[in-house]
Amino acid sequence: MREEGSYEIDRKVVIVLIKKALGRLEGVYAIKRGLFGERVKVKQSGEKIRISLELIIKEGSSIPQVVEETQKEIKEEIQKTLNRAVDRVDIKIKKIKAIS
Amino acid sequence: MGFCKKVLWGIVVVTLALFSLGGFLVSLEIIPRDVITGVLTGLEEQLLIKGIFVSFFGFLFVLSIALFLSVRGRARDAIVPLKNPLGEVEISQKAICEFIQRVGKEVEGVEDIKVRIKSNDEGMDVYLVLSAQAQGEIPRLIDELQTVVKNYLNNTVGIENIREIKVKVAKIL
Repeated sequence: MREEGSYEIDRKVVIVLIKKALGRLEGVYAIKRGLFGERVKVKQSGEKIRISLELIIKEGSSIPQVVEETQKEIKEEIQKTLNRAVDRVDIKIKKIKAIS
Repeated sequence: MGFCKKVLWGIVVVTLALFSLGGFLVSLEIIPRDVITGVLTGLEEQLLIKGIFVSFFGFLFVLSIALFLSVRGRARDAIVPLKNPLGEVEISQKAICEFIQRVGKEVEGVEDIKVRIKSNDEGMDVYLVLSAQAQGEIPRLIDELQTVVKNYLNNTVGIENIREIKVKVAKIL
C-alpha cells in the first residue's frame, strides 16, 4: 500500500492493527485464513483506506452487533495509530463457530 | 483451508512447476529430448516403475478433479447481505446453513436435519428436511423447530425478512 506523502504502510501492519482491534472483541473468533495467509484486503483510494476481511464469528452473540463493533474498533484503531481515515470496513462472515 | 487441502494444493503446484520447468529446459534444448525419451522408456519397461507412474498420474487426475470441485463449491457459496452503514456486510449461506443445523439439532425430538436456504431481495426461504425421533407429536415438534430457527435468524444472525420455513419430515426413528 503506498502513501502519496513521505511514508508507506505495509499491508501486514494494517493486519496487525486489525488483529489488535479484534482482540478487544468478545464475539469474533478469528480472521478466516486462506492459502496465502489471512483473508484481508487493504486498498487505498486517495487519503482513505478501504478494508475487506473474512471473519469467523462466535456463536451466541448477535451478529449485526458484533459486526458493527468490529467495524468501529478497526476504524478507530487505524485512525488512531496511522492517522488515516478508514472509508469502509467490508465484512464477510464465513463461519459461525460453536463455542462449547 | 485445512492442512490436508494445503498439502494437496502443494503437490499440484510442485508437480506443475516441475513439468513446466522440464518442458522449458527441453524446449531450449538444455536437456536433449532423446535423454528424456530414453529415461521414460527405460523406466516404463520395469513393471514396478510402471505401476508407480500409473498410480501417480491417476492420483494427480483424481486430485485435479477434487480441487476443481472444491473451488467450484466455494464459488457457488452464495452470500446473504446484511444492512450496515459502516461498510458492506455479507454472510455466507454455508455458514447460515451450518448454524441452523446446529441450532435445530438442539431441539428435543430432532435426530437430524438438513438445511437449504434461498435468499433474494424479497427475503429468505428456509427448507428443512427433518429426521425426527418417534416420541411426542410431530406437528408440535415442527412448530417448535420453526419458531427456534426463526428466532435465531432474527435475533442472532440479524435476518428479519424470513418469508417461509418449510419443513419436510423425511424420517421418523
